[in-house]
Amino acid sequence: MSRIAAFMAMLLLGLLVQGHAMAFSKTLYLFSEVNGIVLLDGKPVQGVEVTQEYDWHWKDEKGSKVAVTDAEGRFHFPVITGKSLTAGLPHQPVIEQKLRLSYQGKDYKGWLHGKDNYDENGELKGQPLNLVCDLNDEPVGHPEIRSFGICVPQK
Amino acid sequence: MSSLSPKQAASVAFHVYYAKGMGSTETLQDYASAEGLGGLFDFKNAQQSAGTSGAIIRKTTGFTYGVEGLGTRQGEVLLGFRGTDITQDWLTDANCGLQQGPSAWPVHAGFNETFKSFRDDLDRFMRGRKPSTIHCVGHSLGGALASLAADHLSQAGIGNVKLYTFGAPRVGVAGFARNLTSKLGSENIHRVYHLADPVSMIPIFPFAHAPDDGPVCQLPWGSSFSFDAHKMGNYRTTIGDATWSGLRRVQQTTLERDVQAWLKNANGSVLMLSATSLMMISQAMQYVIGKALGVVAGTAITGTMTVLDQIAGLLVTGANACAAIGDSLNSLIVQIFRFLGRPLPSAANLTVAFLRWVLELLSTTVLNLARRAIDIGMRL
Repeated sequence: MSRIAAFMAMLLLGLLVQGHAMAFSKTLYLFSEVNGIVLLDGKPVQGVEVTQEYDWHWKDEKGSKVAVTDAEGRFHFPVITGKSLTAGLPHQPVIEQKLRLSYQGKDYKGWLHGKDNYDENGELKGQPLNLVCDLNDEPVGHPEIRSFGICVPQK
Repeated sequence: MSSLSPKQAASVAFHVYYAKGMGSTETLQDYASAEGLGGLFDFKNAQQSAGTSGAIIRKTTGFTYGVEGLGTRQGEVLLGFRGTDITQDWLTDANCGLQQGPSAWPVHAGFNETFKSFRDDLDRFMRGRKPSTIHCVGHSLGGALASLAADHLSQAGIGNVKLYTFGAPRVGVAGFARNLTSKLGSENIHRVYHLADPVSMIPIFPFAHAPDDGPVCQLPWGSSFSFDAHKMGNYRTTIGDATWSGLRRVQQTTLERDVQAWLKNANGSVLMLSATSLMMISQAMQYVIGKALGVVAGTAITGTMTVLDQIAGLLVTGANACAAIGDSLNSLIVQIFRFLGRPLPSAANLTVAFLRWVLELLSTTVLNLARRAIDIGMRL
């Protein structure tokens, strides 16, 4: 088999199976639904601009959305899913996730995480992405959940 | 001078994926903190390097970084290599021709082309540095690139290279693996793979894994083949907080296991053979390959030759150099072809024809397996 034929065979198989598998509708979760609350000195902060960004390596697909915290300091982002005909080919899923906070002219590193799977709520091993962000905290690494920033899972 | 722990090496193997976009090193440092690598290496000052992958559709992306050690690892250097990630990378992996590698032994052409695209950057990074230890880490394609880097560095006389790979494919011929193992020492090669990880099984003969001797970190998995077994998340779960001695297993005679596993999967889908026929084919395969491994790769290698042609070529050389290989197998091969109801090629082409047939069979089997694994994977 020439190398071009080998590649075409693999790709065709991948496409055929993907087309076949569309009936099973496997959803690729890039960024699970986010429910967050921003605090300062334990009190909710209204008017914090939260920017959600993602970078899906496999498709080289990027996106960005903005939300603003309400009177209870809450913000929400709906789930982000993706579609790919070739995602069936073996590869390492990598989706870079970022939440940037901006308040009174100051920027805060909220959430930085490399999602390594396509599962729903795959960021926190099945737990929903409910976060609490304290503007007084120093952004640090959280190796137990592989994230960095001032936003941590709500208890 | 000590090795990275399995957990640390696994964290690095994933962390290097963040270098794909060649973004700010501050972000790289933040990601390192996220992965628990913050105080180990100076990611704020990492040297990121771009490379090119893809046989037809070429793309340049961040592929590797060089980072200096901190604290107790001061004086050490970490080289991370990114794995299969974007669609173009997959084209590199499928390109199975052979080329002369860093130590002149034949290696996988696609991996070598990608390595060559950032080799000069690697040399520039190493210039003037005299590290006490160089840690080369990679997952999947990154493991192949890390192996080539380790080969390159040890070939240049740079000592104390440690290699850590996760779900890496085979990189070069048996001579390459033997050479790398003797240069680094098998205790400095940490090859980690799930038994069911299909990437660790390719490309097939004449490619071979390093270390060619001694224990490797062969991790268990439920089924025979699974693409989930290839994911870093699952490697991290299996590894946990284990030590290297806890992960090491004495290497099985893979040739026998490989041939049997492939034939087992082929039978019933591609073949309908009795157990006896399969055993005969298995024995013949092992004998022929075993003999061929002892043959020095003096064959003229061109970058466009496929593996199929290379093996046939190697064996023709072998058969010519040691007539015993061809002769002793003739009657066995004739029997096998009769069983299969296939027309007999002429006596002069018997060994080559047999090998061609078996390898096409194995290739078909790989594709069938891939399809089934994808099927199962998509249903989960």
